[in-house]
Amino acid sequence: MAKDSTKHLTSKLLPKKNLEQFLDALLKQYDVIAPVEQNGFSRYQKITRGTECCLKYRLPRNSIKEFFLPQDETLFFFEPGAASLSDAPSAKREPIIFPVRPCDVRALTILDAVFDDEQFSDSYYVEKRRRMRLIGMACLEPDDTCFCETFDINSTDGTGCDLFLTEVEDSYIIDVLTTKGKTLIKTLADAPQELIQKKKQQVAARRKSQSLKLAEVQNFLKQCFESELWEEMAAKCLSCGACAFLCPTCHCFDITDDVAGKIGRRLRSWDCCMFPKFTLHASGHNPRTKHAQRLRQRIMHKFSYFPENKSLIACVGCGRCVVACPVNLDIREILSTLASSTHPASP
Amino acid sequence: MELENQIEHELRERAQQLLAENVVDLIIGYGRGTLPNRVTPVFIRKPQDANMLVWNNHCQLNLVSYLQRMQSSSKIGIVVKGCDARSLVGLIKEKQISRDRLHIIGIVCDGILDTRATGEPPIPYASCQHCEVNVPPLYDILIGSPDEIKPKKPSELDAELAAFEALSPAERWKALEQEFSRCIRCYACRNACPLCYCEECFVDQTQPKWISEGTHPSDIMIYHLVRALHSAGRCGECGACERACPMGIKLRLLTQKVSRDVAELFQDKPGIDLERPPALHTFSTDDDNSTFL
Ligand code: SF4
Ligand code: SF4
Ligand code: SF4
Ligand code: SF4
Ligand code: SF4
Repeated sequence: MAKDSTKHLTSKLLPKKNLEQFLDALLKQYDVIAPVEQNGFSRYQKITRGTECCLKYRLPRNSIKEFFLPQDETLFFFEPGAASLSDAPSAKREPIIFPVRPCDVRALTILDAVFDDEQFSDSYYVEKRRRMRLIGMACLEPDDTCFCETFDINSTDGTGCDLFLTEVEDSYIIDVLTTKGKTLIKTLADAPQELIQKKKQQVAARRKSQSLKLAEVQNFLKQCFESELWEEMAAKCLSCGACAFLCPTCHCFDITDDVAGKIGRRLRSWDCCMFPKFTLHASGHNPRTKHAQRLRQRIMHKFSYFPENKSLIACVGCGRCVVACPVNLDIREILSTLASSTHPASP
Repeated sequence: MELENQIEHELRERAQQLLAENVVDLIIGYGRGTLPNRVTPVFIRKPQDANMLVWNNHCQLNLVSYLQRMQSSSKIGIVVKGCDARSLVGLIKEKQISRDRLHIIGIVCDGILDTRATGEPPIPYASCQHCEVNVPPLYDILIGSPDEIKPKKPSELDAELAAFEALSPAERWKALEQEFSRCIRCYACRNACPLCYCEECFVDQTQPKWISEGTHPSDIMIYHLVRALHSAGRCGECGACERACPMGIKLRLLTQKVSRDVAELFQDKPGIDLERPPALHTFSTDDDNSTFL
């Protein structure tokens, strides 16, 4: 995929009070996806007016992955029994997501490694990725559940975004990072030097998120497939899909045919390794019947298999799963348990 | 000592005793969570671990949903609130767990705080504000004193549910569609519910396939409507399903509405009386037939 490479072009100024106006202007030409207030949290969805955008919460409950890998995606339509296929209609207006945090941007590079590597390129994903514009926002102050620092994510770095906002006093300094981004801020004034200096100081003084020790975890994972720890840790897991479905990097999917009358559609939908059905074979055999086996898969995939295959850890420390897990099975705790474990290695 | 701390203190003492005297070999209770307003389930097997148990107004899970997994324990102690005990009574009546295997540690509960509400001071969950079972209907030991509980308003209906009931059927449908449009089909609601214990849920069946994958509104609605029907006359109104939902969906619009309908049609409140058969498991010629098509 020809990505617009990130390079700092210029810095613009957006007073906070003009934010709604800025979004309204974008809405004239683009589909804008932004966090919208729900009952005590926000959720990324398409907005129709700038006032709908809610920045009260750092991270929306859902991740941005659904705009690249939708939970419900028609790959094509068909007529049962006939030999004709037709494409699903594609969206007309180009989309923008505002704002995207650096952890979620990193998560996209993980999805890229799956859906757009040298060997396989998934046209559905690639097309959405190509059309999307990302307006990032720096985190000067993490949430209690953030642990992006663990993965060397600099929460004030806009790499991968078209525009990148940093809050300075009553304004945002907008770093223009791509030519695609440049077209979005035509009417904004340049940021004054003084504020740019201030931004630099703030960035240097940012409060970093929690950093967990990963080296020990990864060492341990290589030898702990049969460890009793999995049973212990998974004892409370409900095997639901909350963690994986909200996770910005989890990307397992199912493909099914959905026929209603004379129209069929081939559907790609999210799947999740925590569901017992995920590994159910047609023979009736299921290699992962236990909660512990499924939790192990989720952790192993993120911290062992994926890094081995793609040289990337498939977690970005956004903490969504920490917040959403109904039984408070905290991935940070799993990682520290694994890191401090002295359980004997399996044969 | 505050009431909560007193309960916690007594809970730990009793739990330690139960384990030390081999009355139970496992206690399922609440332990300290990793976030300020959360607790997490703990499974305690040694008397010296009893001090891991906590009790506070964030004990929002219904631990009864873990019972069926615990096949290897011969006698289980379980910490229950009043509403949790209702589902436990249901499970015993449905022969999912034998009463003899249980040592029920009932706690007098004054309501669990709504972690989703952002206002100050924190308010209890809607289902708790109108709770009528502060004292569990079934227990072996009871911790806490019913006299210390502030009187609730059981007769009054929770405002959101009342507003929902006041709608016309068409408007109700719209309201449900709107509410469930956020559903991501993670099934946390089903998995958190002690009464959703089917080995294979209808949504997971592939032959026949009742609903499609993906998030088509009709599939989402079928899931929720069928679940509501499957729990009709059984649901103990614990609210665990609603609290498990990561998308903040008000599941009680369905579950509690159906419970109210059952109460009205069959004069039954599920999970209170161990002897009385569940309303939808029996037939009487006097039953209200007005809902038959
Ligand atoms: S995990 Fe890091 S980048 Fe993500 S929201 Fe938290 S502080 Fe920001
Ligand atoms: S595993 Fe949890 S913390 Fe890591 S990226 Fe996924 S949701 Fe975020
Ligand atoms: S870890 Fe939590 S969110 Fe994930 S499957 Fe288990 S109970 Fe559900
Ligand atoms: S349906 Fe919901 S409220 Fe009713 S018993 Fe199940 S978890 Fe509790
Ligand atoms: S927990 Fe919420 S999002 Fe998940 S399936 Fe139930 S209603 Fe849907």
